[in-house]
Amino acid sequence: LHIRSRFFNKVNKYKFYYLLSAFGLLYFLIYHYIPMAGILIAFKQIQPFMTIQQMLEAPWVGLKHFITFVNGYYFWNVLGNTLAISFFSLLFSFPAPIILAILINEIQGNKFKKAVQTIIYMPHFLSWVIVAGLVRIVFSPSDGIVNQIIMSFNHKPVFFVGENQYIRSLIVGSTIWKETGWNTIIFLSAITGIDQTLYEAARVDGATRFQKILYITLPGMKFAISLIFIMSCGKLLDAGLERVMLLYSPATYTKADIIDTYVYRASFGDMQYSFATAVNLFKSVLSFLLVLSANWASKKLGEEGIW
Amino acid sequence: MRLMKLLTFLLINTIMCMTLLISCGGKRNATDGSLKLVAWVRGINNYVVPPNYILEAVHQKILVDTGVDIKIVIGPANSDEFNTQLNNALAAGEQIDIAQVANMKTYYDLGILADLSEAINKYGLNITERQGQENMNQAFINGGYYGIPRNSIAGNTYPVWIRGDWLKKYNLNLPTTIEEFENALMIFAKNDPSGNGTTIPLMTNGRDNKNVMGCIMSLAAAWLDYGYNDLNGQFIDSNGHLLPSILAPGFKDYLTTLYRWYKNGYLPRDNYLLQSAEQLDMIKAGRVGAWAGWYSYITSNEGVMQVNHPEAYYEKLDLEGPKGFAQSFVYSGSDWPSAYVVFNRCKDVDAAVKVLNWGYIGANYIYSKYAMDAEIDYTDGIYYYTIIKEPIGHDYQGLYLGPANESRFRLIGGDPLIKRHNDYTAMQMQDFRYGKFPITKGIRFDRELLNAVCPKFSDINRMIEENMLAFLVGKRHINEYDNFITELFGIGFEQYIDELSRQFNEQKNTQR
Repeated sequence: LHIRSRFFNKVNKYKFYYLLSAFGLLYFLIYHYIPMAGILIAFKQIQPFMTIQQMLEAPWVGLKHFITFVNGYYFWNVLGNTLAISFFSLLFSFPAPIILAILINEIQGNKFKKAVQTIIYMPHFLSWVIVAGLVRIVFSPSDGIVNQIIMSFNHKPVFFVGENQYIRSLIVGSTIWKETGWNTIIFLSAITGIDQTLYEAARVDGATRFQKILYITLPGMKFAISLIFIMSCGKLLDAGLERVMLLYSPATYTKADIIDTYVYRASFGDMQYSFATAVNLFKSVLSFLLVLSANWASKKLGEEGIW
Repeated sequence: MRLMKLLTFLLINTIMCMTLLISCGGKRNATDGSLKLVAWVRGINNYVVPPNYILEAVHQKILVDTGVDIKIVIGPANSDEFNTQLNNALAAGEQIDIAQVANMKTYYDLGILADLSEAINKYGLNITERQGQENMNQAFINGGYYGIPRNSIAGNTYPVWIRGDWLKKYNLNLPTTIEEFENALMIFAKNDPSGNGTTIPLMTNGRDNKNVMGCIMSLAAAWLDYGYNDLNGQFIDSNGHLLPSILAPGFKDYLTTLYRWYKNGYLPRDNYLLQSAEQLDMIKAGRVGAWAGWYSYITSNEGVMQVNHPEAYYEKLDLEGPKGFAQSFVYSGSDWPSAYVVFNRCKDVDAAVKVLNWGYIGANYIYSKYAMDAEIDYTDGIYYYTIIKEPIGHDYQGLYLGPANESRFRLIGGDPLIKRHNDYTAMQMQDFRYGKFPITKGIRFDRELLNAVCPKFSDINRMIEENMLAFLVGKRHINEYDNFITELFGIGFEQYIDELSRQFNEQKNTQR
């Protein structure tokens, strides 16, 4: 009875916080937890447009869909491409907002700083359809500005979007252009949280700007960096259906066909929902393992983990 | 103060939760006593969704004429996008009674189509009369009609076109052979008639038409004994096997020629990856010397091109190569047709057929497209429509219900910008003198069974698609073609061919 009353006392004390979080919790419940029951169809042979009752009664097929995916001729190709595109995204897209946030923080004029921030946030609000269109126009072999410059130096135009050796760079590069500005927000807020007296003390001690960044700003951002890094690891198998779908083509399948596009082409269009669910579940399990590994590694290195 | 805080929180949370719950709920159409059907129709490339007042006028006329209240939803023009949206909506349980589908067998196999036979007998007499038995047979499965076919069973839809004014400019005759055609392309490339290096001597369908299908359908038969027809088979070897077109003797020569044209700069570097909108812009701008691909890229856009280039016009070519005519005719009878289907969840199949039949009565076809009246006259197997009023605009699609065989129609009056299109569909679409049919004409394959026998069929498709493009643009040398075929057999192509041949021979024997 005592424990129960303590519980209700706590609920009463923090009721506004609970109320505040209710909307978020409901969102996650409806959109992220209830649909998880759908995982069931990865182990069943269901036909599209079945009712829930029919799905529940559909025959179990065990790991059949997983085996079909793993035995697919292009399994290693699409898995490799997914990992490669994600790895390059992590390698280049992850440090970019950190560096940019530090640079923005060093800007002295407040008005200029705000103008820079507003401008670099803008690409985030463009849809991938527009960004992919821009990439195709800018890098077009006939009219694109990049090829116009190349041709003005008497070189042959390069068909960037249609060449295997450039497609990943275009995908990763366009992501950096689109998202780096927006991703600085979390790092800028981490920098804002750093005690200003540390900078004062460093100035008195004669520290240079670079030393202040190295010994105050970066350590102050450590938690945010490790947190974002762990979360990015969870997205390693999520190479971005939209951006790849809009930029790849049969000419670049070898380097740009990822798990998501493979599933979309081979399954979703043909309405093989069981197969598509199995592949996505496979992806989610691997992603979860990656998050666990990153969390473990982070703790081993003495940093904060997610839990 | 505390109470105010509490009330504010409660209010905000209630609003947010309600919004969330409303957004989760599936929206079904109200059935306020009157029957309301929902029809999903695919848009058409280069056309835009009609303004609401057009759709409303069509809705009202159908309501008055048939007593059926129908809501028309016009989806994306891109076939893949439309299918995905339609399938997702069906899977989500949205109310869809009638839909235009690309392959009706897919939905028949899922057991979700209504048998329309009885309703057609009662309310679909205009459909059967206008369609004709051969067309209607496309949708006949296991003793019942499960759809209303949208297209004629065969079509002359991949002709080659060339700029007649440019031929005149350089004193060239209308090319009749592949060699003469290549010569014209060379002269266009050399002289740059469009100016400032903007001339595109040749363009073929790009990304939105399966990348390489356009040029294959328009040109490959010049090196083949029969017309091309995807993987459905092209020729029979001495062992009685029906072998896919890509194994045909001569297909390598076709690839070699197209690569030579690409290397010589007759085709844009990004030809096979261009989207239809980009290609249409180039045609409208008067930059394209020749087109090998889907007919309407020219027929629907020549008029627009002539607004800025009045002297420009296209001539249709009937090219011949080492093995005869270059063009393959589309024969949808070997696959399941694009059709209007009624789903078996529809509460009133009779009402759905009444609506479909409405499109086949008098000039309702025109009304469904333009929401305007027309007069109809039937002469020599062709329906001539005369639009009474001035058209509201040329660039919208309309409901597009109506007789499957578009070719019987010719609009008199109406928008001059699409005169070429109407003339082509009326006079040339069914002209089968200058091309080839596939050997599989009249054979209907069971794709379900093919996929079951060859589970890696989607991998085979990717390998073919990827490599065709590689050979066409020289990323893979043609000397490696035999290696590519070996790779295909390595992932189960043989099983596919065996099953294909089995079905082909079985049906041929039955026909005998």
